[in-house]
Amino acid sequence: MGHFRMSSTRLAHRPVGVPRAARGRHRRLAWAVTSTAAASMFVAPAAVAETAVPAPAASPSSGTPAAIDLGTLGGTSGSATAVNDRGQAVGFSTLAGEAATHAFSWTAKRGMVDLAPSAAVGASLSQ
Amino acid sequence: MNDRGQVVGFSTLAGEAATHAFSWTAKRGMVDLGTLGGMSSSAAAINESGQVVGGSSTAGDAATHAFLWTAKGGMVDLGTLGGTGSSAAAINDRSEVAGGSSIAGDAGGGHAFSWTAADGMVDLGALPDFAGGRGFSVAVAVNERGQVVGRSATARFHGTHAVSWTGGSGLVDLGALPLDVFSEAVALNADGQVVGNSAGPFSEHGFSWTAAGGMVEVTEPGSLESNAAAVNDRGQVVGSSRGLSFNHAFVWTAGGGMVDLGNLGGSFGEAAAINDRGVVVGRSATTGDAATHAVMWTVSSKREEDRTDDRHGGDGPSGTDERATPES
Repeated sequence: MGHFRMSSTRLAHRPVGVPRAARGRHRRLAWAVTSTAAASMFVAPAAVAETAVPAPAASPSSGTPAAIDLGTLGGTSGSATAVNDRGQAVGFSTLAGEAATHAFSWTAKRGMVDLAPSAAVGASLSQ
Repeated sequence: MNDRGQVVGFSTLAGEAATHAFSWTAKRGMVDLGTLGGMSSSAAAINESGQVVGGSSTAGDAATHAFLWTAKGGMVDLGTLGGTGSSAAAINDRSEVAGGSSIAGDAGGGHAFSWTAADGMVDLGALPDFAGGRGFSVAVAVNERGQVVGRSATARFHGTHAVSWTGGSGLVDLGALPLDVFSEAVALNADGQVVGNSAGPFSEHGFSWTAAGGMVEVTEPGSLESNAAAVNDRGQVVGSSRGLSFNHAFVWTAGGGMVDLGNLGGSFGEAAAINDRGVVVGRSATTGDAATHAVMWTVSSKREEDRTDDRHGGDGPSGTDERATPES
């Protein structure tokens, strides 16, 4: 379960065993988790084996769309928040040095453009 | 952002003392929309005509009021429902505005409103709340039919429920997923399909709601938690889903279920929005989780068969193709 990223505290509050079992598609997973299990204790071998089998709808296949990296404005954290029908995306990103967060616009032609290039510091967020 | 590429938001000013709403175009760059007399403003949405809504502090920074901004008229105060403050969250192409406002006496947490130039600000009401008071509600989105969605406090367990308002049906409680206490609507499409999130003591999952089909859980086998973020006019819902061995962005349809969008090599991905052509955007961790980058996916938009249950019935392939034309 090396890929497991959910925090243990979060899960510890979630005794998914009983209630989730009532919800159809969750049944398999529900049995993999006991109400007292910490995140590191998903060890019931049979249950792990079951949940490790990718479900058809979720399995990456040839139909999985490619993720296109839009990058950042120079920092290490960027996020696109909206896209219009022309395929133009907007969002926000940290700049190099991580001191500021700026809104950006992205188009296939021009790539990522800082909406407030003159603002050395400060933040801007776009909708 | 609208389809003409006009972007709105808010930005700190030089000196960082205040934040102002802005509008941006590639040609003209960033334009400061000003305020209603106070220090700060923030833009929340823009329609295809370039009308912008949001919230701004008023003179003396006494309160925050919802505003409507146009290039010609500048920023106009939309008032309140009788209380001190208000803020606008959304505007459609017919210039109908939705948001939240405090009510007379500033009782409770305020009510959702809709606003039109003709009728001014109208109180959309709230569900009966636990104290027998005047309730709480807030609106977050409006579609081209004038249908407004948001959330309202419920009497049960001090929770909230996703709600929808239409001229015909008034306030409709969309409920919550089984065992859940909290739900909220976050978006809706032109047909009135509403998406949001529902949470209880045990988990949180995205939902999709239609008048015909009610509330359906947006999930997949193995998902411990999911969030729905947006829906397009084809009924494609996007968000993120987390399980024991995955944490990924998804696209979901009523008929096709959830499909993993993949990521940039890191341990998580989230989708935030989808347009009517099936272009999805969000963010994803990169290889080794070295950074988080903005990301774009393009998914097939030919999933119309998924929507036949809540469509205006009887439309075959030709009818569904017509709907590909963006309405906004």
